[in-house]
Amino acid sequence: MHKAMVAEPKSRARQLFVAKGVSTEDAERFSDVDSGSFANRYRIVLDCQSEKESVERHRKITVSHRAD
Amino acid sequence: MKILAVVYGHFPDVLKLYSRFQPAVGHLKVVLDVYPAGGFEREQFLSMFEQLAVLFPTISQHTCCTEYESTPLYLEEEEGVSIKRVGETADIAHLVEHLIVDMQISLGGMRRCSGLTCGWKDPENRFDLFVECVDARVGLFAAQFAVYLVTQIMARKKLSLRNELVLKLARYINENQGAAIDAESLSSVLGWKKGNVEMALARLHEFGFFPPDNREDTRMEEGSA
Repeated sequence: MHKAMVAEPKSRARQLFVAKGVSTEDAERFSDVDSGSFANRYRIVLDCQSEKESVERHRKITVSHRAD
Repeated sequence: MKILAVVYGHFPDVLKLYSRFQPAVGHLKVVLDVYPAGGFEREQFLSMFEQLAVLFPTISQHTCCTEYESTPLYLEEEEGVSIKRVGETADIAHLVEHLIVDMQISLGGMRRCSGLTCGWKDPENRFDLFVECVDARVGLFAAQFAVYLVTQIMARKKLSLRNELVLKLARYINENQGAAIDAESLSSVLGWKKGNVEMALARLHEFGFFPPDNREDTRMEEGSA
């Protein structure tokens, strides 16, 4: 994985790292998701979330359980 | 499984795909090819989750697929397993995404982190993972380490507990910026055998935790786009 440069508008500064063997054209395509039919690009979308508050609650419960 | 590219920045259109994304926070976009194609069988999935929960105990606290339950997807849910299973290649990419999200909180200093796994129409084994991220360095490491771990599991290899040392060292370095990070000093401070420190440092280098460019360049201030 190495750092690559693609032409991007200044307002949309992005850092790009590409694997060996990835062409410049593909790298530019991977970097840009704001143009074209973005919403129709995908066939499946799955979401997930983690919050530190719930993580801390979990740790507290674990610790108190051990102390008991 | 191979990461083709990792992009770090702001992707305004992605905000439309998930209401829990925080507009001011940047994203890591990981373009991932998954092969061989196919999802996990139930038993394999449960065994894999069990192994990962040892290394990442907080994945049990994740919420998963809360906004897409009305889509025509069959999401299989198991009691005590926070990650839902679709039964196709997306399961593997989705698992990688969960691990990246988890590391953004445990290593990246975020209080809340959301992510999306988006499967391309063509090729069907290509995925864009979008994960909220405040430090490209941590994100790049998390993506590569997650892919390494899931690849190990798919090859039916048991995850070594030495991976835990890698995560602990990454956390220590992040929380003690400016501290000496040569093997000798770390061995003394952490009380670890020098060989373990050297192994963990080598892994951190291998997975991009120490990019060759300027460290200051990897962070993006909130709202800078």
